[in-house]
Amino acid sequence: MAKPQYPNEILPQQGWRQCICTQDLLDSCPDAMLGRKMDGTKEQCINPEDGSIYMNVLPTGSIPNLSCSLLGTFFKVDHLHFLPDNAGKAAWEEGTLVGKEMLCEENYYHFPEVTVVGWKVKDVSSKELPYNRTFEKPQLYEEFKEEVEDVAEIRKMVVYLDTWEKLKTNPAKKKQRIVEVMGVAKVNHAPTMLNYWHFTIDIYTAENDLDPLLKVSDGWRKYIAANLCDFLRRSYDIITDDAQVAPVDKKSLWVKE
Amino acid sequence: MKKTLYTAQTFSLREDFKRRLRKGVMIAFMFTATVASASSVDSYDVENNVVNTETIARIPTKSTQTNGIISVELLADSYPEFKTVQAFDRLITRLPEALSMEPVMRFVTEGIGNIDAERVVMDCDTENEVLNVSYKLRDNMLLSISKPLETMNDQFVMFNVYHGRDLLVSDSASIELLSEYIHNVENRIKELA
Repeated sequence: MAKPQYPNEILPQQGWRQCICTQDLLDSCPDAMLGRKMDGTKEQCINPEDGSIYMNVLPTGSIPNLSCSLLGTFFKVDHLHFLPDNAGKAAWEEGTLVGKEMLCEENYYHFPEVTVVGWKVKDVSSKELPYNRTFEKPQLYEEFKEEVEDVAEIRKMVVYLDTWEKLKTNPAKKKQRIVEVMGVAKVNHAPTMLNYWHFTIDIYTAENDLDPLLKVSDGWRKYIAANLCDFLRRSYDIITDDAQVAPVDKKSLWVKE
Repeated sequence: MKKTLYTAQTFSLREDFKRRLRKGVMIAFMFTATVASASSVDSYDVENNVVNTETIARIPTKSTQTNGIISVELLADSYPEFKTVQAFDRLITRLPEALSMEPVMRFVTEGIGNIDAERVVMDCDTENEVLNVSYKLRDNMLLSISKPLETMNDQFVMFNVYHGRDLLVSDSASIELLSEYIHNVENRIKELA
């Protein structure tokens, strides 16, 4: 059976901006909402015991760089049945014209049965993500401390990190010392060839404000991702096709003047 | 004295135990009486010390007699420790792979101690081996604790506290510190009540 035709109203257009600034978005639409599809029915995705999204449906590993779409724009809830693939999911460069050949069936999936969940941008953006780091050598800690202090300045946060001597010892490994620091979640616009309204929820560590985490490869990265994952699993809205989503209608957000 | 072991096997034995008790089989009743006396907690030496009879002995019971048959019901739901066992059992029934997360479950539930929770729910990200234990507390409060399996060499847990779906507290701390904090809060609430 042929796939339904891809909705071309969500493609990027020439004359549109490369990037919608999240703060500008929040200023013009404080209740702007991100939507994400989950494969399967509500019963398959939501734990009836406590109403949370099952961990295997929204696993910790999927949290860094989590794909979502901005609702209330040209992007409607039922567009979440479509998922760009191959060339369709490549990053869109400002000014690029997306031709009709891009809409071929190889470049997208269609999911007949999905459950859509949503999060308010303001709830996710700037969410603080506390976590612990352990160090065995004072020199490594001093380097880390400098990086954290530099990033805190960029984030306009006040950070006080103890000296090596004052740090607590890890009870499980006496050689290690522990420091508690704060990462942060950010919502970034990341338009793709087949979806201008594609956003990502990203995790930034305490010591790096430029490059988001892309993988949760070890313990402390899993902690930080597990924190955001838990929040997303519990503080969501189920979005039905006819849900009233806050409209994002300030065109200057995406149209270049 | 046997150490508490929360395994599927443990639970199924307990379930079997409960079923036998509910049928009113006299031998089971006699056995319960032996266990309930708590004087011979090691007497139930079945399946290579898997069963924690000490725990069973402390579970309150209710006995009734109908037509000469004595039925004994374990009031397990009123026993906080049993809620965590039940929660883990529900998890491994739904996700058998989650059995590998038993050390994490023990770390969290034993570390945190008995919390006066209305309900305990567990979930597992089997791919990334992260366990989540959530305690539904009074007044629509929820304590959610997560820990990856590979971090068993540290004492930390990540926890969030919610009121409804609103996040109130988000932090990472050692299990001892979190436990101390929770029990201080519980004691304070009791004092105020």
